[in-house]
Amino acid sequence: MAGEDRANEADGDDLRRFQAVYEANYRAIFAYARRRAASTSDAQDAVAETFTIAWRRLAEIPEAEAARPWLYGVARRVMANQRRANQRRIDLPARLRGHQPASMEFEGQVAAADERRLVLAALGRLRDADQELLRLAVWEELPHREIAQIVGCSESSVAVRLHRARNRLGREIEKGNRGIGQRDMGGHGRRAEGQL
Amino acid sequence: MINTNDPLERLRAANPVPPDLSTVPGADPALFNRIVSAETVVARKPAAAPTPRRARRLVPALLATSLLGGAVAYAILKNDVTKPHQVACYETAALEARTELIRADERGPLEACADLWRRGVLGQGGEVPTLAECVLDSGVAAVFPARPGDDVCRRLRSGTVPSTGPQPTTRPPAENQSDVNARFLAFRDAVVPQFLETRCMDPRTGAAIVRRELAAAGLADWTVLGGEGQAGDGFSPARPCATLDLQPERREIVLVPTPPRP
Repeated sequence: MAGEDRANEADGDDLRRFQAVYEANYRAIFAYARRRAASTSDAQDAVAETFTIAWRRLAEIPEAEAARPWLYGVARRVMANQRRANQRRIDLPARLRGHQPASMEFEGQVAAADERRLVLAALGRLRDADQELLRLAVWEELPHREIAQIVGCSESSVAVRLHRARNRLGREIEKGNRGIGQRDMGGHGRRAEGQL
Repeated sequence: MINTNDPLERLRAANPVPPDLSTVPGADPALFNRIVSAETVVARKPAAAPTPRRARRLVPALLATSLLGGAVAYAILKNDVTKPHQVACYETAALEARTELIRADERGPLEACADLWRRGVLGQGGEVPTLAECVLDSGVAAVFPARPGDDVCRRLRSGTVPSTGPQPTTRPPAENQSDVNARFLAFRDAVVPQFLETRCMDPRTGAAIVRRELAAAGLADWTVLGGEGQAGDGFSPARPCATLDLQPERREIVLVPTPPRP
């Protein structure tokens, strides 16, 4: 019976530990998923899958604050699988391009939405690895040490790759700016032709 | 104001979910419960089954199967388990007792069912009674609460009124319930393999199969929910495939959206 008691105790400990991990990290993992998913429901699916894996692999989760990068790593793989399973690229910038904000009463809002679309479209044109690095650094605000743990490289490599990704992002944003300018000019030209 | 010369600052401003997580929904207790309760029917480690591929394919259906009040109207025989992937955990030493059908794993039927008792899925308060393992003539291992030394398998086989364990928390209607349960089991055994044959069951095809097998089992009056293009049934490009949620206590078969299996 002593062995059975210990087994019961171990089960209870597992449950309590998982609950602590779940409650401490749910918001962060949901935010991570939502920033990358095309819809809230896709993000919810990813969160559910991530924590299901965490429960099954509870013994592998590092203690304390190290649990979060571990969970990010799981969520990253889950979302990659989700994209593969869907056989489509979750193209948030594309969605945003098609999205019209409910209220566009103020020019400032319009400008903010345009800026957001421009930046997200530029991000979407980068390689997946660059996108993920930038998101982890800028959106999740993770230190290089944790990013290195998630993507599986050294801290120094993270720094170099981030620097390059930042430059690429800057160039893509500029390309986007030029594209908007050319479209605007082309648009006026076509209208002018139509009026003749 | 954003410094437009700094792409990272512009990216930060475009964050779809601001870093302040107070705006994000808090931990969802329902999801937590689903995750930990699902683990009562799926072992954390891979099951040590003789045919791992088949065992893996059985998971979705077994996950969804809970035979509340389902009396298994079969004799109890002390013979070999022919369906090693399933275990029926009974709440009392009675064939009509509330039953949880779970996936077998390396712990063995007794320990797997004991785990349900500990977690309060069966019984109350987490106390585990003495358990006895029998085999249903359907080939499924069955675990009943029993007094130490009491040959519950023999007694149930002979039809003796059960005298051990707590009273059932859910009893089926007396009239013809055994027949309904037997027909449900026949339906289940016919329909589940068809869903497991394919990596992704098309919802409409799945609904048609369910209706056909319900009719074949004499359960044509049961309700089939989902999979037939009803609004809000949850099928989407992300979850285009149907798996089964069998709810015999409600006489409902629900087609649940799921991603394709790997």
